Amino acid sequence: MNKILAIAWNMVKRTIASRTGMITYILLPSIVVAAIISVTGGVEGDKPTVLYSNMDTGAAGQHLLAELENTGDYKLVARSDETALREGIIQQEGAAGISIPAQYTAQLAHGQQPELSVYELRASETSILVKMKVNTIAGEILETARTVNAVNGGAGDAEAKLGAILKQAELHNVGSTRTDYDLYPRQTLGVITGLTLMFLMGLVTSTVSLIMDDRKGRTMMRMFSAPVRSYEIALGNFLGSCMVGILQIAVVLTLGKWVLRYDYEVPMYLYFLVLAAFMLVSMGIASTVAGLVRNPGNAGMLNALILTPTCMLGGCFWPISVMPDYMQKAANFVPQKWAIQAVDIAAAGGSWNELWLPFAVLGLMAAVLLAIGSAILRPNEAGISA
Amino acid sequence: MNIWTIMTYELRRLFRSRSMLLNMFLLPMVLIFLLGASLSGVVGVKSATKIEPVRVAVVNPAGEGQSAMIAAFVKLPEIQKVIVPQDVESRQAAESGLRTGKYGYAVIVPDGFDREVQQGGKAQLEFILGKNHTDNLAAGTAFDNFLSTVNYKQAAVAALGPQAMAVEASSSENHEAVKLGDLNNGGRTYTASQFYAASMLLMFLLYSGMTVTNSLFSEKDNHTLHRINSMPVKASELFIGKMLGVGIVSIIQCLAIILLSDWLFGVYWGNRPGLLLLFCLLMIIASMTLSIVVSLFSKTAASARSIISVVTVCMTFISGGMAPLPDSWVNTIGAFTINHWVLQAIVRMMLHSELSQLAPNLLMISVICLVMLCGAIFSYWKVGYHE
Repeated sequence: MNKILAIAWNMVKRTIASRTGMITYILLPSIVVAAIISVTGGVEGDKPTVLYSNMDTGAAGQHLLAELENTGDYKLVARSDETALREGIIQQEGAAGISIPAQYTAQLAHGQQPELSVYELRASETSILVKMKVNTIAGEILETARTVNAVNGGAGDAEAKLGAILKQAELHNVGSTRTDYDLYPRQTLGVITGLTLMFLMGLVTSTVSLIMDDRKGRTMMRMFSAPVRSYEIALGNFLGSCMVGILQIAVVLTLGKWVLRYDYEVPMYLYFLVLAAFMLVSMGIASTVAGLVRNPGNAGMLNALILTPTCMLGGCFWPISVMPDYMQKAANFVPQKWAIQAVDIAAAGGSWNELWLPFAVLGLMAAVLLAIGSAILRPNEAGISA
Repeated sequence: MNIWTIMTYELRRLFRSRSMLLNMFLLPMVLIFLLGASLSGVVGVKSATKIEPVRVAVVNPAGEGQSAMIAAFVKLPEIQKVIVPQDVESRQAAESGLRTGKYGYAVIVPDGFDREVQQGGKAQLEFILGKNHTDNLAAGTAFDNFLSTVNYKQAAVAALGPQAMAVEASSSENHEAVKLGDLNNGGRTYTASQFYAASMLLMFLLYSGMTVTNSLFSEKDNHTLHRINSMPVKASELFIGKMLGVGIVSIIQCLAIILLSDWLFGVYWGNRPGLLLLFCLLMIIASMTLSIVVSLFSKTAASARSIISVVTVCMTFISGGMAPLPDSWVNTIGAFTINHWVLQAIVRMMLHSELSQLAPNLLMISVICLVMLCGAIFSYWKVGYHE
């Protein structure tokens, strides 16, 4: 046990005892993560911009825009015509664009079914929601126009009547009020957790690269010639990088919570536990890769090969629920998914009755990967330089 | 001649490394596939995911004030696919059920809701949001759509008289009143996955800086630089040869990403292949010169590598290539990244824009390249490449 602790302590000293080590391993990453947290958390209040061009002179076009404005979710910005709208979308001045064609109201009043166009440069949550919302409103307008025509039988001023009905509908006599007790986790919490996980995984890679350096410099072979067992070397190294990792998590959380005052909505010890469990898993991944690949430079690259795709799949950048079914199933194999799920459950006030599952999965992943990693680390072999 | 030898050796070394090949050719394909599969499939949100029905607590007052309209609505088969209505006695019971997670959403029907609707008065349902964002959205949308239909109907009755009530609703469910606009000026239809393909291409071109660092530091770390220096090879020849080798690999990588994504996923790269390659070439030059400067001035390979990967990830992130960022960001802070200018140009080429619209981007990236090139030459002149 003493030997393991000695190796672990040495590992900690090597990484963070010097000033440069302190800066590169603890300070810099924590500041980056904390900055991202504050930026993403601050963005939340901003309404996404939606561009529109209204060529219609009648009531229907105005009604559509009024209803969109009424949702309170979007900032509507006018463009002079459809070409300018398209240009604005390409310049990324708005997340989505709505083009209302000329004679929209007149065509509706004559029983036709004119089509609106929604533009997007890339699929995003805003553009999808805008499209759904516009579709609903336009469907209702269409239905109303049909009713007007059916009652009027083609006689009378259908356009004026349609306008009157839409004006009346804007009053929202029948509607709903929402009571919000803030029971659900905020949307940005998922993204923030995701980004924290991504950087955490990258950091763990850097401590594991120290183990690689040891092997390459044949330090491990020398250690092996002392009365130390192979598993003691492996365990000591894991314990050491584990300590460094826990320190990193602690600093990041302290900065986020008490300096930047981001509200995590989760008990801090739970958040810490989730991150620590995830760190063990990513340490297992990194050490497995390190065991498989003998050249330290290549191991770093292979980790990049694993890091970004798993983060995407695990829902670090966007919610998993927007992905197709088979991708959601594939996400079950990725630790990020379970960590984010654990945070979600905790934020919704879930108890250990629900929390045990993600933690169990993370623990199992960590155990398996660490076992594989220590089995193939083989400290008595020197690294092969390529 | 020396330059040629060094370059071919560098190429041979790079192509022999298996993880290098995986990283340069497989990873971009995987990422483009992941992005395309998970984000462009979203266009029809409902079909993309199977929504678990949400348990909704419905508080409907008993007796005279009971709403038959709501009771009938929640029994419709297509609504039951989205929600599982549960009759609840009181508002308190619904609220405590929400807090324990027994229900996902609660709807409170006021006394005499139907009467108010028929008389054209104000009738408001109260929704209480539950613990899950998606559930809130699904249940809220279902009830809101119903209410808005009732709202328009009420307005129609108010304006046209009671005979409006008799008009049957058409099966408008199947009819899409909105079409996805085509941003294109001719050519193939633009899809959202093209955007991500372009941003991934740029991220990997930026990563080619990593290869520069590895190549420069591997000689130092293996102490082979001493040996090479003892040969009749000028330091500048060695340096230029190495950079040429890395540059050629990057160009091959770039071509592979473009061609493979075209063949495998049908990503359309626009109508100006020459200009596209020119932009990519400038991007490669910019990223290589950037990492030359970083590598020459940093002492260890590890620190150079971490600086370059941080810069790469940050630039891709800020230019909006990874996760969708707010639009106000992209045009202000994003403009300080190299990715931004090239990404915009590539997207424009995909959309068949005029040449004049591409010129500012080309000018900008050329200026960036020129400045970086001067920086690289200056730092080589100052620091040099030796142990």
